[in-house]
Amino acid sequence: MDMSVKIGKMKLANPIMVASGTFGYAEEFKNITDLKQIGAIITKSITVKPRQGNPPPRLWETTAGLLNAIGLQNEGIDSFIKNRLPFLRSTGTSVIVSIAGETVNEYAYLAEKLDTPGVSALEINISCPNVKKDCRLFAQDKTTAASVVKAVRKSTKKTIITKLSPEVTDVCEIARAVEKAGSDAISVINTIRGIAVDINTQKPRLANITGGLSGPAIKPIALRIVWETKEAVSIPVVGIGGIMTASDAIEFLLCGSSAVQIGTANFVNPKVSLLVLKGIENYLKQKNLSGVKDIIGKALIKK
Amino acid sequence: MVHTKAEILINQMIAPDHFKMVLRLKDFRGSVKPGQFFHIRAGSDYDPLLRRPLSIHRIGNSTDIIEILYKVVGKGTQLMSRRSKDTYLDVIGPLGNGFKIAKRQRNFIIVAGGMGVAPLLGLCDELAKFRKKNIAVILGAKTADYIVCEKEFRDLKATVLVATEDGSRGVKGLVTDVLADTIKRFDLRETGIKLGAKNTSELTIANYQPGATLYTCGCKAMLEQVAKICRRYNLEAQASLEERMGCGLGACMGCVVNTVSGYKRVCKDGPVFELGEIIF
Ligand SMILES: Cc1cc2nc3c(=O)[nH]c(=O)nc-3n(C[C@H](O)[C@H](O)[C@H](O)COP(=O)(O)OP(=O)(O)OC[C@H]3O[C@@H](n4cnc5c(N)ncnc54)[C@H](O)[C@@H]3O)c2cc1C
Ligand SMILES: Cc1cc2nc3c(=O)[nH]c(=O)nc-3n(C[C@H](O)[C@H](O)[C@H](O)COP(=O)(O)O)c2cc1C
Ligand code: FES
Repeated sequence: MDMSVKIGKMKLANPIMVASGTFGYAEEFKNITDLKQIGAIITKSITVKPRQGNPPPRLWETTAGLLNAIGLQNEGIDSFIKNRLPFLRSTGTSVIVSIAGETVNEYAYLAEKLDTPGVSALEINISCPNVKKDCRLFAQDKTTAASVVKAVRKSTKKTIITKLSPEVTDVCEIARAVEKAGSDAISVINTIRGIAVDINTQKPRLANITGGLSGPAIKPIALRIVWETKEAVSIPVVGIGGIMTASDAIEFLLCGSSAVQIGTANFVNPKVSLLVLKGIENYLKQKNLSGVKDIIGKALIKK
Repeated sequence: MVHTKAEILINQMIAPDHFKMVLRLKDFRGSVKPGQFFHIRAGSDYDPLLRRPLSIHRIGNSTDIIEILYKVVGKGTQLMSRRSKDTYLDVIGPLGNGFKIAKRQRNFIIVAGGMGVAPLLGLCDELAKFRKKNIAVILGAKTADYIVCEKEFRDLKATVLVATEDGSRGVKGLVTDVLADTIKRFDLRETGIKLGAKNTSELTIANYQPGATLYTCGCKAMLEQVAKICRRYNLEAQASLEERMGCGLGACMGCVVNTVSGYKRVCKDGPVFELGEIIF
């Protein structure tokens, strides 16, 4: 079965990636799952300086979902390169480093620093809802989104995936802008902000008040955004949001995702990626198909 | 640490809403320490979605047998309470650091608030193995019905003091009231912990020497009070903390607590912390 897919210059053995922020730096999972079978590992978003993140509590479980307000806690690019990248390199699978800057220049700086062997691609996180409270996300404006991508494009020859937010009026115009600015692919979706309240204390459950919603609860929204994005651009789209099983992943592939990312499901079952991969292979066998490319975008109705 | 199936050997109510579960871990040959926990999948669909962290209550004769003591507080623990013997749970563990056992110490104080008793009995099993030791256990709960493990601690030759909020058993009040009072009465300089010493006037705070290690688990409000008392009497203390968890593996940064050296992960850097390190 040919499970390989191509995203930009990057050839992946299979279309299963683990999503940023849900798999740490992979070392945390090394005793529990077979890392080299995962198509690509995406790291926690890395910033220029270490970030301590938001005050706890940072998590709240909702019906079939999870609200998180981590606030990009990470050790910063220098420590990442020194202490985390060596292990990631040794996993034998593609490594995608997620980067998050506060300014356009910071994104460019991070991209330059990561122009190093062992990094297969960069995912530009311009859509994290847990950092800037009152101002808009880079991903919420087509001009700022494009300027980040342009700056990163100038700093690296590596494959660039730009991760967009579902919290926009029209994802298509943002998607077209980042495509034009030189992004090799687009990943959707990042989490959607939500709130939960404790009726006893009459206070929000999260110290940050809002948190990003992930998990099965967001899957229909994610599928809709993947569909819209795929119709707007010709670069590959990577689908994310609520994937728990192979059939969830197949839905994303049918809606035009060239690859998928698995996030929250890693917390439920750290071996989920391998199960999803197996399940897709079985599905393709049952349908008498020769590879995963045969189903990508199959559900899209050609206009 | 393994991700495996665990066979439920016993799942029994021991007090209102309190259950004891005995599990046999499949293909487990590692070691388990008191204070570590397991991340357990209570159901099989998306509600509840996440795993539930539960402490090791006691370690069986062979290391693949572990006991868990849990209180039904929501959907996950409710589902667990309905699971029958001979069925399997999906578990990951043992996780976290566990209690540090001070090898030279002979005086131990254990302070358990409510369900906080869960990880402390397994710890007491270890402490009880020392030859010359004094173990004082202070158990607290809302009412007498919720005082659990008292007999088990006594069987380990610990001196047990009980506090209930309504006074239905032991002292009326909180564990922290009993703790402050107990420390004042302990003569820790020579013979170790002497409970109920008649002549307390001799022993003043001024001539008190630090000489005990305290282990505790309970709600945040209680831990904060215990921390204050430990600071006042210069007691070394370790506490098992709780925070909501995502991965349980140190990857998501969801379970942090604030400490003097910044945010630390309960699942990986803890759940046991030096009590003095925690910022409440
Ligand atoms: C390291 C550790 C060890 C623990 N050991 C024990 C134990 O031995 N016995 C026991 O009875 N309880 C223990 N707890 C608390 C136990 O995890 C919660 O009571 C349980 O998760 C509640 O799940 P629920 O679905 O029944 O409740 P719900 O309130 O419906 O749970 C909703 C969400 O909140 C989380 N949650 C609720 N209460 C807590 C809590 N106190 N701490 C952390 N997360 C919570 C749940 O995991 C879940 O994600 C421990 C917690 C931690 C962090
Ligand atoms: C605890 C947690 C932390 C996350 N951190 C990041 C992050 O650092 N960068 C990022 O781009 N996305 C982050 N995400 C979003 C996920 O990568 C993913 O887009 C989202 O969770 C939806 O997928 P899921 O439903 O499969 O979890 C995080 C999600 C969770 C649950
Ligand atoms: S629960 Fe994920 S880091 Fe602790």
